[in-house]
Amino acid sequence: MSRFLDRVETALQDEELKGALGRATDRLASRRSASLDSLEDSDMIRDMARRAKMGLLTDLAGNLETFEKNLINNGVQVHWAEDGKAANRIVVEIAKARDCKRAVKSKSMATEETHLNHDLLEAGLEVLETDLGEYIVQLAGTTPSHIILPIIHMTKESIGEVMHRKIHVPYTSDPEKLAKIARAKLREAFLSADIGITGANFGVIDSGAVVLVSNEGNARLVTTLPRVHVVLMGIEKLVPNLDDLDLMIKILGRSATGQKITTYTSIVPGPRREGETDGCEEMHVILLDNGRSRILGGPIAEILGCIRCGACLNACPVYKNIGGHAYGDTYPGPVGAIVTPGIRGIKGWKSLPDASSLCGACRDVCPVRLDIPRMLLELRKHAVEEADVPWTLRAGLWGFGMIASRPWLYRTAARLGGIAARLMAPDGWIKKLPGLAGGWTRSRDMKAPAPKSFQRMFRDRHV
Amino acid sequence: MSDARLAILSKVRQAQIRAYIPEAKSGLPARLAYPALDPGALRFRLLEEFALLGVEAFVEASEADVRRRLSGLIDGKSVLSWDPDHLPYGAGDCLTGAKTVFGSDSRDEQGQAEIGLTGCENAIAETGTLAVTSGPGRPRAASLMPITHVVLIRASDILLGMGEYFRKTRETADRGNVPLPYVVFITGPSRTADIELSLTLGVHGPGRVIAILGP
Repeated sequence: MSRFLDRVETALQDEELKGALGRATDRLASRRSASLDSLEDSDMIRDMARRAKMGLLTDLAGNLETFEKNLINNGVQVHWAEDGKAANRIVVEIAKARDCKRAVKSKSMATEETHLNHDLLEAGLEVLETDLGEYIVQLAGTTPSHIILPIIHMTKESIGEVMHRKIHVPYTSDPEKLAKIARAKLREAFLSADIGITGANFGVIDSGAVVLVSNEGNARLVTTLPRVHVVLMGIEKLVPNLDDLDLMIKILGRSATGQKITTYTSIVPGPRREGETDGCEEMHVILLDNGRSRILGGPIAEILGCIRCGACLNACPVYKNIGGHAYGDTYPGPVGAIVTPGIRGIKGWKSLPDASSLCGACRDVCPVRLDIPRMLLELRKHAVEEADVPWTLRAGLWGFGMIASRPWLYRTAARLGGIAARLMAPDGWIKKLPGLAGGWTRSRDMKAPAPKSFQRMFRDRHV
Repeated sequence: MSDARLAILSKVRQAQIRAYIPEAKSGLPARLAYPALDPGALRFRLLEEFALLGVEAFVEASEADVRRRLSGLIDGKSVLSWDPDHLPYGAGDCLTGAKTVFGSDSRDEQGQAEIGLTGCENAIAETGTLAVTSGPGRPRAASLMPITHVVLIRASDILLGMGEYFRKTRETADRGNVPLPYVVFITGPSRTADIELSLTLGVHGPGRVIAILGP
C-alpha cells in the first residue's frame, strides 16, 4: 500500500512530469471531444460498439475456437499461453526454431505485460522497439507511461539528451530532427531483422485476420519485411466481423488522438501468398490468457471490452497529476486500476482501485461506455473481503457499527465527541486529531462539528 | 501447447457462465448504413479530407492528363512501382526511361527508391483514406518504403465509408470462398506526435502522399 503512495509522492514532486503531462492530456482530451462531436451518430456508434464487445464475451470460448479455425484456414499457426512466461517461451521457441537473431517490435501492450523483451534478451536475441516513443523508452531504460503516448512524461530536451547519450548523435531538442535520426537508425534495423513481433488491436473472428493500427507505419514495416511475424494478443481482443470492425475503427482513433482514423490500419489475413514478394513467410498468433479468464468470471468482466484507446487516462484527474508510472504496472489510469488487479490479483494492488475520486469522467469518455466507477467499487469491496484489512480498521468499524445501531449510545457519543472536537478547534478548524484519527488531519484540516447536532435539530422541530 | 489450449478454453467456458455482462441497449441497427452519394459529391468529400490531411491532390480529366501529371512528378527520380499491368490509366508508360524497381527486385534497391507508385482498390471519402490491397505484382513496400507515395485513384472507385469497402470485400471473398486480401488503409502521410505532441511527418512511412484522381 505504501509503495503505491510512495510512487504517487515521487510523481507529485516531479515538476517536469507535471508540466509535460498536464499539457498533453488536456490537448488530447479536447481533440477527442471535437472529433467525436463531428461524427454523425457517435452516440449510436458507441452503443453498437459496446454491443459487439459485450456480445462477444457471452461466448468467448466459442468465439476463440472459431477465430482459431479461421486463422488456421488462412495459414496462420496458433498458440495458446496461460500466462506471460508461457507466452514469452513460445516466442523464444519460434525464434530459435527458425534461426532468427534480430527482432523488431511495434508497440504492444501485451508484450509489455509479459515483459517479453527481457526474456528475448535473456535468450540471446536482439530486440528493438520501433515505435518512436517506445524506441526512446527502450533507449532510456524505462517503461511507457501512457497507452498510446509512451513518453508523454518526457520533454523534448530530455529526449534529445537520451538519444545523444545512447546512440551518440549530436544533441538536439528539435522533434523533427529527432524523428529523422530515429527513421534512419530504425530503417537499418528493419532491413536486417528476421522476426517481427506485434500485438493486435483487433482479431476479426469471421475473417481469421489480425488488425494493426499505427500512425508512424512501423507496424507495417514489422509485418512486411521480416520473414517471421509473431502476434501476441489477449484472448479478449476480438470483434465478431468486419461490420463491427467498421465501428471500432470509427471510435478508436477519435478517442485516442482525435484523428478520424489512425494513419495506417492493416488487416493481416495470414502470411504472404503465392506470387507475393513481401510480407512474412510464416505467421504465428499467440492467444494469451494471463488472468483474463479469471476477470471474465467475476463482476469486472466488462473491462474485457476495453479497446485501449487511452481516453480515460486523459480525462482522469488522478492520472493527470500522477502520470502512468505511479500505477506500477503496464496499464495505467482508470483502466489500469481495474486491469492490473484483475490480471495480477488484488493482493499487492489493492491501492489502485482507491486511486480514483469516482468522478465518472472515465465512463463519460469511454468509447464502449465501460462503467469504470462501478468496477472500481467492486474491486474496493473485493479488496476489503480478500486482502488483509488492518485489525485497527476492523475494530474501528465494529465499534462504529455497535454505536450506530443504538440510538441512545450514538446520541451520547456524538454529544461528547462534538464537545471534544470544538475544544480542539478554537477557530472552527481542527488541525490535528489524536491517535488513529490523526491520519485524517495529516494532509487536511477538519471542520469542527456544528454546536447543534442534526438529531437535536430534528427533535426540536418535530417531536 | 494443446494442454494450454484446453486449459484456457475450459477456464473461459466456466467463467462465462458466471460472468456479469451488462445488457446492451436494444433497438440498435445491425450495422451502419451509408447513404448513396453521387460521384461528384464523393469526390468533393474526398478532396476536402485530403486537404485536411495534407495529401496533395490533382484532379485530371483524361487518361493522357493523368500520365502527363505522373511523368511530371517522377521527373527522373527513382521509383518503386507496382507492376505496370496493375496500374490504371496505362501509367506504366511513364516509367520508361525512369530508374524503376519492382516488387521482385532486391530489398536494398527498393530501399533506395525516392517515389512509391501504386493504384488503390478504393478511396474512402469520409476519412480521406486509401484502401491499398497487395498481391502478386502489387508489393506492400511500394506504398511504404519510399519517402513519397504517389497513388492513382479511379473516379469509380471512390466509396463513402470503410464499411462499404468491408461489405464488398466480404462478399467477394465469400463468393469465391477465398480468404480476405491483405489490405492497408492509408490516411495521409506517416506521422508521430510522440515528442511533446508536436506533429512530425514521415517518421517511418512516406512523409508525402500525392493523389492523382483520374476519370
